[in-house]
Amino acid sequence: MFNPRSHASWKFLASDSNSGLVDEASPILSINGVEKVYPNGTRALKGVSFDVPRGSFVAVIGLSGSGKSTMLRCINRIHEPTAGSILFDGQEMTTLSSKELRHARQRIGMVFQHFNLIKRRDVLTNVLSGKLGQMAELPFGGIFKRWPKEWIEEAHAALKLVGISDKALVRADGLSGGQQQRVAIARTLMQKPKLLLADEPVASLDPSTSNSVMQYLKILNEKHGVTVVCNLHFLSLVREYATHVVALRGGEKVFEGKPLDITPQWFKDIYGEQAKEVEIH
Amino acid sequence: MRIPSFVPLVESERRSREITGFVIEILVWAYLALVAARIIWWDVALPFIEGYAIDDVPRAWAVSFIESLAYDSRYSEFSWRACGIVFVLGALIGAGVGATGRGFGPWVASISKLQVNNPEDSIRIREHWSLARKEGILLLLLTILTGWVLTKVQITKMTELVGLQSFARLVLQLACGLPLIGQPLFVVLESIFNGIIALSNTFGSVFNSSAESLPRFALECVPTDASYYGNAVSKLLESVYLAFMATFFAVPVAFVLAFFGARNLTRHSFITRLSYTVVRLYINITRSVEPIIWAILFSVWIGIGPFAGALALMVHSVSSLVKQYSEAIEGVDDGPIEALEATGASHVAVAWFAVVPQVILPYLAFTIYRWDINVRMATIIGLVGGGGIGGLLIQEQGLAHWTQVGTLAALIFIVVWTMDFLSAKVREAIQ
Repeated sequence: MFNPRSHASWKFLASDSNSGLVDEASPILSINGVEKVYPNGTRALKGVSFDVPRGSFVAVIGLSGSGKSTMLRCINRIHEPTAGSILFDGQEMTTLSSKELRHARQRIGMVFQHFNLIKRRDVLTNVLSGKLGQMAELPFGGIFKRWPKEWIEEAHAALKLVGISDKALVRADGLSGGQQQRVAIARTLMQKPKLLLADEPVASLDPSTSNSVMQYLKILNEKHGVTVVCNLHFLSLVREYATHVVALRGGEKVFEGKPLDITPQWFKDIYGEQAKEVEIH
Repeated sequence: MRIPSFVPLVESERRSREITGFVIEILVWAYLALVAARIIWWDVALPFIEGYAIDDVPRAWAVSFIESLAYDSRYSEFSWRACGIVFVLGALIGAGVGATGRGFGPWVASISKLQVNNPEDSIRIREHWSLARKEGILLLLLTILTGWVLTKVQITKMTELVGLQSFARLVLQLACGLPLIGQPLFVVLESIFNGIIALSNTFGSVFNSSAESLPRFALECVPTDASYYGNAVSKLLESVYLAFMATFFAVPVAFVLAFFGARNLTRHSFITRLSYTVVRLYINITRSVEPIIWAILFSVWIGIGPFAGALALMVHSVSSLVKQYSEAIEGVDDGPIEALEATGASHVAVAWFAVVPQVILPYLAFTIYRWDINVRMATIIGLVGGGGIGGLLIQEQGLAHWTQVGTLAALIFIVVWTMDFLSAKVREAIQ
């Protein structure tokens, strides 16, 4: 378990919490015994528990198929967890009604390995779609409403922040991979999230683009006080950007601690035995 | 009925797959038994034996056999009781084969996307299903045989001279009605046909002096009157516009219904799953009733005319478009849907922003193709009082005005070909 009290500096990084009731020192996300069994019988998660302190940058590592993506998707219930509890900002996620869930999701941003942009729409529309959560209660989900002017300005500001303000009116599929991921980050910025879930955000990018995208996540984390939970493959990136590490193997947590605590022995535990099996196939 | 463990199956489904396979096996053998008894024995073998019994020189064995069964192809009927007995017998055989777990049923039930990793296993699987393959071939052969008997295939009919002659006469009359090229085409075809007749007459008298010689064609081609075209073209335009109206008003209805008829957008709550079932039920019912039946229903309701035809085509277009649209929706990339759901957007907004941009091109292609189909169908709809050129067509055909029928067919051809050309161009442009 993390002990957030031993890292007092996070307090200052923590996002501007609007509810005075929530204890600033309590973890923003507390995951307890989460299990996930897919309809085909695959047990993707076998009781995973960990805490995410406010303002931290948590990297989730592990082999493909170890349950990292499932873990992330269970947090905002894109995938429904089978058992366990997920406490986000003092709110139990697993029991929310669909309306309450939409409210909770507005405060949780998400970026994906394949960016998941609307390819045939321009960048600005893609960024503005981050605001759709706020239109959810309007009739027809707000699809017949025009975007308010201040939102459009906000979207331009978000694009400026990720350094592609000149691409606002370009169609999303005309951008390079790194630019698309930056659009996706700008989209989550529109949500003003407290928590950002990043599902292997750099896995389909080249090394230098990877670094620049990670830099933007770091800016979000440090300057805007967004807590980040990020699935990563490269330990070098983990050591450079993460403040905490959780390692999964076969749907179970096998390591939790600081990036520098990953000794060769741990590395073997997380990747080693599996790697041998991979060679056999 | 156990499927051996080396056949890859999702473990939680193994039991239900085994039961499914057993049931399929029983049904397959019941079907085989019914086909063997009803078609091969009853429709083929018995009449064949009966033929020997009622021959000019009856065969004693055949007579005694037919009498022992009290069979007469004119009166005897295959009773429901016999059906039941055969079915049960087949089912019993099926149960016996199914119990081994090696038959066609378990094989069909065990098909899945799972991969076999072990090469030894794939050899064992091949051996295990050897009986199933033979059963499958037997099933296919018996089904083809049944089809052959039921469609009353008679190759010899195709070479009978009387039929051929009537066919050629009709072709000549239709050809005469074609606009512009009708008369010269008629002359060419007539001389070709007469040449063939002359040849066959010569050969006939060489091989068989008593053979009847066929008369040559001596028809006259009276081309369709120019004033006739005015009426025909206006009726044709009526059909084209009728098809356009049906398509145009079907699109928005189908657009909305398609979202409720797509599996991937209707999983999240009971209401939406129910809406999926209802939409699918509706489109399957309306699609299985042919537009020509809808045209009859609507012309009884609102009277004969193009409006009834347009409504009939619209009902059919809605259900066909919903089917195509919703299948396009089921094929979209999940990524943007996931991303927008994660922002807390409502289901309507997710459908509008994440799904619609992905399906708009296939929708356009489907819609243009539907208009193309509707133009062709509009000519048929007229046959039952749905307005347009079809009414004229059925009228001329009833009066045996074959030249006019040829003219109308040519006009329809021109429109269909133009539509095909245009839709190909549009589909090319929006790729």
